[in-house]
Amino acid sequence: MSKSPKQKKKMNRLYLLMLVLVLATVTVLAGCGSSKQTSQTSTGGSSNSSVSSPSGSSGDNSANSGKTVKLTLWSIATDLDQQMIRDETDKFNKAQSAIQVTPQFFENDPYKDKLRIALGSGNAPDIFFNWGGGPLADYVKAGHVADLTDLLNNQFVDYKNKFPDSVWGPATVDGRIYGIPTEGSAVELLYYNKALFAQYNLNPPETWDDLLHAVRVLKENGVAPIVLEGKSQWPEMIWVQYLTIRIGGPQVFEKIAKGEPNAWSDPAVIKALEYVQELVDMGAFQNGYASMDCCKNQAEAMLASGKAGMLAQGSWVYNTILNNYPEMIEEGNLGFVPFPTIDPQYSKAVVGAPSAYYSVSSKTESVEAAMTYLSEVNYNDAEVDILINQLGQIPPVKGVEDLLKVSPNADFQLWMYDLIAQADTVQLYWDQYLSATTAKILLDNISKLFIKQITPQQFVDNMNQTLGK
Amino acid sequence: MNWNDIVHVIGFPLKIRMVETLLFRRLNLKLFLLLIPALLFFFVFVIFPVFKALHTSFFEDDGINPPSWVGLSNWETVLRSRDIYHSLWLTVEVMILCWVVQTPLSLLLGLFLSKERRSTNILSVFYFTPLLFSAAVVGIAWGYILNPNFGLLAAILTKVFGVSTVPDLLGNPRVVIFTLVAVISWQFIPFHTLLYQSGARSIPAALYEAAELDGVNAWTRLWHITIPQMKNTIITSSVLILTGSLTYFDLIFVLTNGGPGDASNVIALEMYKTAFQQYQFGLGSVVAIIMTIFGLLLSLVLVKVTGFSRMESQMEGV
Repeated sequence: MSKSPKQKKKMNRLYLLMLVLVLATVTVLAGCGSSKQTSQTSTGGSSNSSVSSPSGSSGDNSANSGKTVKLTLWSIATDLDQQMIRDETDKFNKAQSAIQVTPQFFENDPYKDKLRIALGSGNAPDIFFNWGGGPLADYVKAGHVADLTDLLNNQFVDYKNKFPDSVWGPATVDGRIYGIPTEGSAVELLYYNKALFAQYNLNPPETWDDLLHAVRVLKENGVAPIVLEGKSQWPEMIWVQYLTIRIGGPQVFEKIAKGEPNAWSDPAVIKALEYVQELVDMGAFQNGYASMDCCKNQAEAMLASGKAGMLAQGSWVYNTILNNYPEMIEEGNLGFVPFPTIDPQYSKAVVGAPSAYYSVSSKTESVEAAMTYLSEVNYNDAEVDILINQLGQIPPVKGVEDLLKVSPNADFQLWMYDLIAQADTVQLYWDQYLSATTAKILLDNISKLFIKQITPQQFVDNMNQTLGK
Repeated sequence: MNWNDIVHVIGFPLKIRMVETLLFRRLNLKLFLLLIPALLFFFVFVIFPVFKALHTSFFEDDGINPPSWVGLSNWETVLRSRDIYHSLWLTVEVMILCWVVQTPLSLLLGLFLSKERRSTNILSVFYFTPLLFSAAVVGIAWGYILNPNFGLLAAILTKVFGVSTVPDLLGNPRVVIFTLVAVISWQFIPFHTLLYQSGARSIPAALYEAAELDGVNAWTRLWHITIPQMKNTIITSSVLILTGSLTYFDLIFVLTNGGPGDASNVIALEMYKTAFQQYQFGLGSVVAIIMTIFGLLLSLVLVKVTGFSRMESQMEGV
C-alpha cells in the first residue's frame, strides 16, 4: 500500500493535472454557452431585449394573436422632456395591451458607451435614441439595426409624410432608412448674458473681433469671459468645428470625412487651432475649465448668475435654462447669436442636426410593434405641443412654423428656425459624423490642445493618421 | 469514501504521518476535492481572463462586428506609440507617491492609536470611515469639494481666506497627480493605520522596558525598536499599496477620466479607454496583458527584495 516518495509525488501531480483539465473544460464550455443563453432566455434585468409572455389580460382582442409584446426604450431625455416621454408612453400602454413599452433614461455621456456595448453583446434595447451619422452607420453595417424603409413606405406612410424629406439624411445608410426622427432640431450657437454685456458696453459677439474684445473687457473686470465644459471634451469640439468652418468653410471637413490623405493639414484647421490656443492664452475660459463636466447645470448656472459671459453650446441648453433658470429668460437676459463670423462668405453655415433619432434593434421581437408605438407616441399632438411650448424645441414636422409663432418661446424658436432655413450648409457634429473610434481620438486630441499639451501641428499629424481607417 | 476516512482527513495533526502512510492516496484526492471551489473561482476569474485577453490581443475587435485575426499588428501599434509608456510612467509615479505619502502617515497614526487612551476608541471610528465608502462615492464627493467654481474648498478659500483665484486642482495637468494621490491616501490611510495599529500592539513590552533602562530617547526607540519589529507589517502594507495603486481605476476614472488631456491616464485607464471608449478591444487587450506582466514583475521583485517568502519572525531571540 505504501508508495515511494517519487511515486507519491507523481500521483499528486496526476491528480492536479486532472483537476486543472476538468476545470479548464468546464470554464471554456461555460464561457461559450452563456452568450447564447442570454439572448434566448432574457428574463428580468434592465438591459435585456423583449420578452414575450402569454397575454395576462383576459378577453382582449389584440392583433398579435394573444401575446403581449414588451419593448424597452432607451433615451437620454431629462427634466420635462423625460416626463413627457413617460406620460405619453403610459397613455399608450394603458390604451391597449398588445404592446407594452418601458422607457429607461440615462445620462448623456455614459449613454454612448452603454449603448454600443449593449448592441455588441446582444443585450440591446428594442428602441434606442441616437444621433444618426457615423455611429449609426457603424451599427447598421454590423447588422444591429432594423431597416425601416419598407414599413415607412407602406404601413406607416402617413407617419412618414409628417416630416420634410431633409430630416432622413443622418439616418440613411446606402439609401435605406434606419431611424425615426425624435426630439427637436438642434443647432450649436453662442449664448451670452445680456445684462453683463450691457453693463460693460459690449456689442453682442457677432464677429470674432467682437468676441475677442468682450473677452478682454470681461477678463479685466473679473468675470469669466467664456464658460467651457472641458472635461466632457465635445463642448471644446464646438469651438474647433465652428472656427474651422468660419475660417475655411464646411468643405474642409467634408474632405476629412471622405478620408482624403492629409485632409487634416488644411490651413484652415491649423488656423482654427491657433485661434483656440490664443483664447487659452488670454485666459478666456473660466478657472477650472478642464475639469468641468457638461450637462450638470454648472455652466448654465455660471451664465445665468453672471459669473460667466458667454457659453458655446447647443439649442438644447435653452431647455435647461428654461427649466432651471427661467428668470434669465423672463428678464430677457439670455442672448443668443450664431457663432461669430470670421470670413463673411462662410457665415451662413451652421453646425447642427435636423433631429435626433430612434432606431429599432434588428433583434427586436417585432419591428412592427416598435413602429406602431413610435408612430402613435413620437411627435403625436401632445408631444409636439409640449416640445414647442414647454421645452422651446423645434420638432422637424411639416407646418411647424405656424405652431412656433404662437409659442411662448417664439423669439428663440423662430430665430433658430430661420437660422436653419437660411443656412447654406448644416454640418453634423464631428464626433457624430465620424466613426466612434476616430471620434474618440479626435476628442482626446482636442482635449490635449485646449490645455496646450500638444501643438496644432501635432494635432494635425495625429489626426491624419486616422484617415482612411 | 467512508466516515472513517473523513475523520482522519479532518482532524488530528499529530496523526497526519500515520494517516499519510495508511490512506495516502485517498487523502490527496479528498484534499483536492475540497480545494475545487477555491480553485474554480481562481481559474474562472484570474487565469481564464488572462488567457482570453491574450487571445483577443491578436484580433481586431470593435465590439459590434465579429473579431478578425490581425496577428501581432496590435502589439506593434501599442508598443510603437508613446501612450503606453506615458501611462506606465504615470502609474509608477502614482505608486511611488502613494507609498511615500501613506506609509509614514499610517505608521504614525497606527502607533498613536495603538496606545490605550480614552480618545482612541472614538477617534478610531472617525479615522476609519473613509474606508467604508466605495471609490465611486469618494470620487464624486471629492470632485464636488475640489470644484474650483462650485466646490466646498473654493467656498472656504474665497469666503474665509479671501483668495481671488481658486487653484484648479483637478484641471491642472501638473498638479492633478498629486491631488489624486491625496484623495487616494485619504481613502486608504485608515486601512493601513489598522495594519500598523495591530502591528504595534504585538511588539513585546519587554523591549521597551529594556530601552527605558538604557535611557534611549523617543526617536531612537522609534527607529531602532518599533520599526524593525514591525518589519513584516511594513512589508505587507507596502505590498498592498504598490500592487493596489498599480491597477487603481475607479477613483481616477470618476475624478478626472484620465485628464486633463492625458495627465492622469494611468495604465488601467488607458486600457479602459482603448477598449471601451475607442472600441478597440484588441488594442485594449494588449494594454491589459502589459499591465499583467508589469504586475507579475512587481510581485516577483517585491517577494525577492523583502524576503517575504522566507517568513522570518521578528520574535526570534525575544
